Amino acid sequence: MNFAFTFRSVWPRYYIHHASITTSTLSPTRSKTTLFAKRTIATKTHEKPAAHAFYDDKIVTYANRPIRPVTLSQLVRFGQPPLTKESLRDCAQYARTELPVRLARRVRAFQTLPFIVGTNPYIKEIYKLYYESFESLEPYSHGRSPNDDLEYSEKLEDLVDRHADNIPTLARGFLECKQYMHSQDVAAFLDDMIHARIGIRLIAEQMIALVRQEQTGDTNNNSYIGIIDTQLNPAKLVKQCSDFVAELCEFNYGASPETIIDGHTDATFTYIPVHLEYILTELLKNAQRATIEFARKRGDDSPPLPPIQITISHGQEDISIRIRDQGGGVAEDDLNQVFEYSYTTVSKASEDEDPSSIFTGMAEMAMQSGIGGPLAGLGFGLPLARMYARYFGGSFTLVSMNGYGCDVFLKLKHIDQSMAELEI
Amino acid sequence: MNLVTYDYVQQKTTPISLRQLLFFERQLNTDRLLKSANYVRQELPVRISHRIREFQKLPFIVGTNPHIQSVYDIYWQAFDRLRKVPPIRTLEENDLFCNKLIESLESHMVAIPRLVLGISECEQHIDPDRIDRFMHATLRSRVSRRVLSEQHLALSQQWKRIQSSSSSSSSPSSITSPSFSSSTIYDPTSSTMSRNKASHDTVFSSCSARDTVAQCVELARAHSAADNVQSPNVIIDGQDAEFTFIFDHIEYIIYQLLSNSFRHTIATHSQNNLPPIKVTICSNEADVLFRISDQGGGMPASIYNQLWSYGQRPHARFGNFRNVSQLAARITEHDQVTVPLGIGLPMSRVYTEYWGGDINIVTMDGWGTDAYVRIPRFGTQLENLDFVSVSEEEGREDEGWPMSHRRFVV
Repeated sequence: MNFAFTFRSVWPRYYIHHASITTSTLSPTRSKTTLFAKRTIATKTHEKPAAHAFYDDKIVTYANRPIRPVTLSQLVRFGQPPLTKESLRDCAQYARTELPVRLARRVRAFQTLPFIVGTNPYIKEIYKLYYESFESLEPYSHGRSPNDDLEYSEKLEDLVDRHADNIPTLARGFLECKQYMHSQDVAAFLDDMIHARIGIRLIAEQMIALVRQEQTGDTNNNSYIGIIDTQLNPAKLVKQCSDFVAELCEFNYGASPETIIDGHTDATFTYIPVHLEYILTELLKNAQRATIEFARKRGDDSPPLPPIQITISHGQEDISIRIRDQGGGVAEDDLNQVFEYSYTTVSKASEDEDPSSIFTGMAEMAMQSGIGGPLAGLGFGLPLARMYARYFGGSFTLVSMNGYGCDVFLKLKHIDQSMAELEI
Repeated sequence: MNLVTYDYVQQKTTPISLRQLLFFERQLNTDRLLKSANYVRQELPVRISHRIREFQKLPFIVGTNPHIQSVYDIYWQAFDRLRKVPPIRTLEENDLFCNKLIESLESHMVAIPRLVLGISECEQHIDPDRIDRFMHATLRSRVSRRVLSEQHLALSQQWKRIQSSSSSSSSPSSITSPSFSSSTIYDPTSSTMSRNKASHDTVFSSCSARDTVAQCVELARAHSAADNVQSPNVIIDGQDAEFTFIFDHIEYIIYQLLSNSFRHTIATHSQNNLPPIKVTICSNEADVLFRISDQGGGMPASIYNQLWSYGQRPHARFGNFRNVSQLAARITEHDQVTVPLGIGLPMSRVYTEYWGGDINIVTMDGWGTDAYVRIPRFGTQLENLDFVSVSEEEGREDEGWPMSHRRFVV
């Protein structure tokens, strides 16, 4: 009895929520309410608790199904103009059956985390999010009616929206749990999670975009196939990102360095804009923050801040983007950890010995929750950027000239026929 | 006869640091000179014996290649010659020893071309990684032996000059002066650079980064001009820094990188429209960094992946070695050797890493290339003489070696 009581208090909201799901939305292998009831008395009356009952059958069933990767060319083909109801249906069919499998796997991954880590409120929040997402999408994987597609796409949109802040939240959670888990295990978990998340979002967003395109008969964006832009101009995107980051910088520091873009500024290639946008924003945040902090540290504030130089190159197989700053570089000791999650050079307010300074905490908060997202301090910008870069076979190289600045080289392959067989 | 090597192979090499080399130079007296002589006398056979052992471990088909075989024989001769030298107790004995050193140095001049030719002929019989490691270790050891030998020769010569200037008598007759000033070893006058060093030091106590780069630029432009080709401008920025290094080595490295940049820039742009090459110098407490940034069009992945390799290049490049019988891998040779030999980059890497530095090249296909060289500043790094045995796992350090492979590129 005590056991069940404590058990419930540890996972209160999970069970409460669980019990509130009506049976009608689930395939009735077993009524959930009775399952719930069984759990509370299981340990009391049964000598051998029905252990398998505790572990959600459905999750395990789905999680154990193999993932059917979709190739990039299929994804593109789903949306290749002219967009027909048929190709849309194929895409929907694929998404419906595939997404629950991938979501279930994510849930499973959470379940294998150490207990103490899993109870961290941030991590638990994301866990629940995935669980709910799975639950809400799962019914669509059995049979369909013609109107389902639209409804499904709306559900997906909602999901994508709610999952938007997963990574920052997870990162915060793991930061707090630093002492409970080996950093390699954390890294492995996060790598997996993020890699899978990219794939899930890709499928979901592609579907959403295609539905929207079909609905609105929108043929204005000829260059877009779902979320893939066949004529993405990196120079333009760089400008947008650097303007955005400059604003953040002004907000935090009152100044921002100039950005110079040169090279093949007219080049275009096929890529997914949101990915590149994310990578560029992270890198530019680092570059601008470093430039300002380094200049201030040297007491070098008055002359104009050294600019950030971005060069774009259109090569035979890939597009290269080089971001060059004079932000002082990365110290050697730090270089090894630069790609680790939750490694950050932003000092924590709690570690600050100066209680009289009320602004340190604020500065940190400002950076972490500035308009439009955190500027810095959560420690996952670089590993995430690198993962995005590598997702489609690209590469990410950081050169640190300690005492001077950093050069970051981003190489992205054109998403074209040569990548047709790349599996998502 | 191989048994003779066993004793030596068992011994570990005793690496020395630039600082120590300098110390000998500064505080020179007879005692120290003889100490230096004996250190070299004992050290060289040990190092050579390690190389011999590595040769012996090569696959049979490679070891019997005539070029490789001839280098192997040269090594044996050198080993034999040097191990028989008795302990040196007088200046006269030192002179004899110096002659032996010169002999060895000269006979080894053919090593690089022959090795490279041999390797290129055997390419299909041996794993390319293995070959790269073998060549890297061999060349690294070669650099180390030459540094020791040349430094000792310089010291000896310096001592003689000091002695002869302090005493009013004419120079002692035991010096074999002609061979000392043999131009194949070091010849400050043949270089187009003006060196204001009076002594024949091979180790400069302080190189100014900016000056080094400026001199290399001049040299590269002179060579371009000799070919009647317009050369691109070079802009040097960043703050100058001083560091301790062997001038010849750093010169070689920077010159190689610059000449590559020149060549590619010229090849991809019209004569009037050459984009400048930007060299940035910076430093921190521990290192000096050079960045050479060009717009020479970059390299596709296929070439980039082979950049540092000895054995995976197209045959055509190494074929040029047939016409080059001797190579000391010094910058002064560029006056005579004008065809690209294909060994500039791997050799630069040997020179850089020898004292614990680092060289990295990153390219942007379609635009240009950036080369980064990091040199430790104060010369307290010991020589990098790892790879006791190439056949063992790569990267395994010999115990006791403070091998620092600090990275600055991730």
